[in-house]
Amino acid sequence: MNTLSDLTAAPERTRLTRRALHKKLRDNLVGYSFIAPALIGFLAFTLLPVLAAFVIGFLNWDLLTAPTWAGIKNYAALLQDEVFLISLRNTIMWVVYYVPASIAISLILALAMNMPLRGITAFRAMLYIPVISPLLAVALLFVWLFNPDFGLINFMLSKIGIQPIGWLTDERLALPSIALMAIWKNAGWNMLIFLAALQGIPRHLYEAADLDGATKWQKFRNVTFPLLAPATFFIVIMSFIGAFQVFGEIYIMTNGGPGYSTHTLAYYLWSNAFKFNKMGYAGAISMVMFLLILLVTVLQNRFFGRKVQYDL
Amino acid sequence: MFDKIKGLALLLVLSMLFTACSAGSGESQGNSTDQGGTSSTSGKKIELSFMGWGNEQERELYEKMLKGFEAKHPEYKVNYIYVPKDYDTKLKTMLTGNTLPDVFWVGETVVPDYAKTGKLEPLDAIVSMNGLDEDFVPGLLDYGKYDGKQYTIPKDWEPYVMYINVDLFNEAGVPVPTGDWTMDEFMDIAKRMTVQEDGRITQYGVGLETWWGPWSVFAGNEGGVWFKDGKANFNDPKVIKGLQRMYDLFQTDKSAPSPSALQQSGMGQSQMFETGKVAMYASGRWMVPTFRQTASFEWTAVEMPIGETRINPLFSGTLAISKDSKDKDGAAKLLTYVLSEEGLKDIIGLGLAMPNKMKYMDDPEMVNAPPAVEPFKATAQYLDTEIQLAATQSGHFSELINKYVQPELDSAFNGKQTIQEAVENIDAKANKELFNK
Repeated sequence: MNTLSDLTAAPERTRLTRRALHKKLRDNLVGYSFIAPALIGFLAFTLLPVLAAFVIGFLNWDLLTAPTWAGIKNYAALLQDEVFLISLRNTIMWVVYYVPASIAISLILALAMNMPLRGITAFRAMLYIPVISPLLAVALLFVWLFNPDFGLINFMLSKIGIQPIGWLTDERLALPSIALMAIWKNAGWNMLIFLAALQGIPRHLYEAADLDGATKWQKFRNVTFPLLAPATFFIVIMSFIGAFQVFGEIYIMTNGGPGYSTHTLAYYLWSNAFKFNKMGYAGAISMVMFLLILLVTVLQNRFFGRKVQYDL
Repeated sequence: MFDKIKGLALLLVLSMLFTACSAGSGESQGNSTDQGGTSSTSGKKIELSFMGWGNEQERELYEKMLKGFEAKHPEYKVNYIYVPKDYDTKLKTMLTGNTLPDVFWVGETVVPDYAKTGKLEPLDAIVSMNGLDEDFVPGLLDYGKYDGKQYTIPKDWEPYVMYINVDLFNEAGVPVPTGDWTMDEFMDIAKRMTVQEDGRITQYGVGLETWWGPWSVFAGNEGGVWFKDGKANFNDPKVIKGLQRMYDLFQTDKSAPSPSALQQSGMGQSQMFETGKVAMYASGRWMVPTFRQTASFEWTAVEMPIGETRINPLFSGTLAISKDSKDKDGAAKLLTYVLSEEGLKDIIGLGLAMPNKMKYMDDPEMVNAPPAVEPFKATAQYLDTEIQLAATQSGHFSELINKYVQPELDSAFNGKQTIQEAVENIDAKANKELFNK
């Protein structure tokens, strides 16, 4: 009996598992088909090019003729390349000029725009307009504002007796001047994120603070700022990543000049790839950029990532 | 119901995949189909693709010209690929992806880069068969050659001249210069045409760009040979003399507005000329259509001032045929048409450029006033046929100029270092890293 029932039960079980397997497979397939557009897009247009750039970094390739193997020659050459080192330094300086100022200004704007005033949404929209304006238009506008001879900024300064300043023509000022424009253009973006986070802070915390007789500063220091931490963390990480890749502003406003003063890693990478036909070298620069951004992001995560969790 | 949605989703994904795949080949492979070279008046036309760079105005001119070709050769239909910016990047990408158009534009400084890839069709046979090289402007054709073969043919060229705001000269009582003016006279006029009010300069003598075109005029007019024996040769007394003149205009005399990188690309300075903030403006023939529209004063052009000698850089658009073209016969017809009298009239008649053949110089449909045509025509006699050509044939022209020369000269023109320091740095770095083989 036992053997018989076993024999008859066996196919039953198999059928069941097969059906379950089949269903699982089908469910998975359906799931994958839903994420397929994004996944295929990511694989084809992000992951694959990244892997390709990694390989290209080890090649001599002028884009026009067949590539040859270079080994680590490109990386060795980077260390000797004065312009690369200048570009690296300028990129770090850009991060220093741009990131802290950009975040501080966005936060101040968000606090101001969070005030319950009539028509505040109009102000918010105004501050957001630079973000949705094309970079090209904004950059060209600033080129004229910064014009040393006939620009509006120098004209205003001349009215209070200040000599013309070579905003984009002075090697020491060109990079900070462009950073100034970038801060102005992007302030609205971070402001929006801060604003959303501010409005997510429960009112009862402020009420409790009021009952305890907290001053405005104490409320900001002990309620607002800590509860903004997740948003701040996000903005800091994204700002760093964006700042390390600065290109468009430079390309439009100064072409890396005067001298090498606004050469950044991304600009030098692009020059090598598409102006000097040195794809391999550009690939190596891209890997250095990747590692640099990875390192900075991991460090930030290490030091700040755990401190931004709050249970309410 | 749910199954239907799932099915639809799958279908959608698949269709997206297919469109994504087919888009890549559809746009660029505008080549002819397998009809061969025979015409068919009733059936499909043979498709040719033509790619060129230019501003919006040029786009319209080229569309008109290509219509003319289709009218003359009704068996063909031309797909015009217009590239407003970053032309070279697009061309390189197409070359790498084996999707080159049948006929396309190649910049005069990068012909060797493309020729050595073997993807350009040698044109010697077409040239001799159709007489395309007859009566050419001296030296022009050499810029399409590589390794003894003709790979591209210049369709036009653009002289570099000095534009003059005649009204400002008349107001100041300074006679408008003539073509035989010297560099010393020019420097003096630039100083006299600079106006100061309350310690601020309100009008500059000359608008001067700092890219390779202008400095090669200043260096070359003093007899300077900045590229010699396959190497950068900027540390040469004559080159230095020419560059020093530019330095003096910017820094010593302050008769030219301070250079900025944007002005390298020609933006900024031309507007200053249009608004009367500079009395003279050195630039190319390409400004003529713009100034005809925008200048609200009397203006003209004269040749660049003469130094020890006279030289004009060569700016040109050259045309090539892809080696992979499926209809080389058709491509040759198209190329020949663009370079023909009717084709050229359409694309340069507006005043953007000069014709490639001497015999067209006196044709008002090709070269017309204002401004007076003589200075532009005269330039044809002293085009740079050696220095710039040698630099481009080195295959490193762009890197030499962009990575080594421009930043060093920028620093000098901005007063951060002397011309002597700049030329020493250029030669030392470029010859160590670029030309050491």
